[in-house]
Amino acid sequence: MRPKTKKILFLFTTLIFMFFYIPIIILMAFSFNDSKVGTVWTGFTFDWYKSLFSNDQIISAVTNSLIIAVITTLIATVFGTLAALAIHRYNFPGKKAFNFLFYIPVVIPDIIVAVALLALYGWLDITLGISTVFPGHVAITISYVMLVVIARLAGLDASLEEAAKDLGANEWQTFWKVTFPLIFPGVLAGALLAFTISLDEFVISYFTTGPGSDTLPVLVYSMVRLGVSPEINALSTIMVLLIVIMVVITGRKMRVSK
Amino acid sequence: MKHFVKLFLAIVLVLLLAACGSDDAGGSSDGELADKLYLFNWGEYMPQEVLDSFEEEFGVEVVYSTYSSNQEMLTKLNSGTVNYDIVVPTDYIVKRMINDDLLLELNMDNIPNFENIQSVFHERDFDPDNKFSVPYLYGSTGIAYNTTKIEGTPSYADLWNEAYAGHVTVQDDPRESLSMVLQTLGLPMNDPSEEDLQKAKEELAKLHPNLLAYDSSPSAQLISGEAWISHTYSGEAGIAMLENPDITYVLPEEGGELWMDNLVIPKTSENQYTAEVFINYLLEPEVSKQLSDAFPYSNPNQGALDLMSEEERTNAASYPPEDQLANAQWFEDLPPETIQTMNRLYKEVKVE
Repeated sequence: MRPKTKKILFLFTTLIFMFFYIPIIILMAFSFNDSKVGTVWTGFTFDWYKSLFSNDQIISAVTNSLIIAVITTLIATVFGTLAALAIHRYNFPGKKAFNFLFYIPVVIPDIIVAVALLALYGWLDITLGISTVFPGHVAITISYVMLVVIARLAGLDASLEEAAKDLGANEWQTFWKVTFPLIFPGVLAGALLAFTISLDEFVISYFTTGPGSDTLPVLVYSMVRLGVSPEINALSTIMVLLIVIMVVITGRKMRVSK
Repeated sequence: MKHFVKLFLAIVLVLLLAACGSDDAGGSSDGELADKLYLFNWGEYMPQEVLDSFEEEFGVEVVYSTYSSNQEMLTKLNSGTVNYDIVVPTDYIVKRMINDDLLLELNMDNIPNFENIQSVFHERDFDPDNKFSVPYLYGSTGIAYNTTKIEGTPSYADLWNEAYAGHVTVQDDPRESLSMVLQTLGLPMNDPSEEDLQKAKEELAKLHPNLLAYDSSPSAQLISGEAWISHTYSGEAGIAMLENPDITYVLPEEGGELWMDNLVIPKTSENQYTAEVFINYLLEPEVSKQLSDAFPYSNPNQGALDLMSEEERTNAASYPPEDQLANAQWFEDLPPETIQTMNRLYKEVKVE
């Protein structure tokens, strides 16, 4: 590579990373700002972290968001993986239509899912609460999990499974000892995708949360009436750090499993 | 056939998941408090301590959730999925809800503290007999300005003053900004004709050389001194005044606009008595004062005002003099066509 090209590429990469991360760094810096109004630096403080932990509404919204994200991820990952296996392995009548049905939630606007669910709940006389948020979240995330796992299955060498069966393993053993370890990176990637989608999903949550079950994005949206409070900056800082830690850990795991 | 069975099972699963949450709260008859009270309020509008002390005093658990617009609240309410006991709509939405028969008539015997509300705010246009709503907090849209840069008391017309070029901000909202221009031109703000709106649009375009920005939260620019004169909410002005003593606020001679949020009980509530007890509790002077202490809006409760310091009570942003209040106008519900026209004209003027 010519030195000039190298320089330009370096500059370009730096600019892209600045574009990604400068807003986040500013947000983190202002979580330590003494002023309630975001843009003027008046001094260093931990007050926003203190008031964050004593703000019941924010804490309960974080808890709700995490509960919903974890349960959604579990359901979507198990069923998404099973669906991917079924579609990859077997031929059955209506398979194409079935496959197609799984793509719809990926392309359909969230607002339609949201309004449809709200109408359904109204019709069935179901009271909105934390549990009414799951169906919408599961419905959109399950397709993502399935798509990721199917992509992994497509690259799978079928002879490995045949070899295992040849050597006397039954279906169950073949799955857990051969197939699952091979598709695990795909399942994990699908699960992470489902988790992040559920965690910052706004539109469906907005329409399907009930009393006392606001999720974090819904709560933050309702709070911006007075401008974003620095408490939210503090919370975002904590969440960014948690996500960085999570990415590092899964990165290590992935390397080990390879 | 097998697949239909599976599909059916999947649907049942989804519904079961949803149904887990539908536990009913115990209803209550007159004179008996319910276990739970479902309160649906604007975000950043009620301090936690107020809810905690109500729970402690009355043993009623308040299930509190928040919304970000009147439309969101109406959507949830009309879907019939949650039986909220109290919601807090803005003035003109109260009127619409009364017309749509969505509200319960309040039993004022349970709300004796209503007399704490300043008489100016009794019998408001949107609820002339005080039958359905109780004032919560109010505020206005007017002019925040920097006294070191602006001479005298500005009116809306001063936004067009060339001397202030580059230091003017206007609300970034079709209805707010066009209403301001309509008032300046002396045209009806709540019943404008197509022609009036066209005139307002042209006048707004003339303001562009002066504008720093269309901005609905200009407090930061006011504090830093970048904005000298802003058409903005009293709450925004209040925030700016706390950090920059040169900033003050006035309802202009053209009028300015008033809004008020109100406590109401929807027809779907199963706990009317408990809701009324809660409303009465919020009207206690000490409790009511906590509301306006925590958030930069104005308190219509005379009892709460009496507890405030002289400085708080004469704060220009929160408590404009009574003659200015009387001169200001309330926003009224507009027909959808007018709102659409406003949105369109505003978009057009912004791209010019």
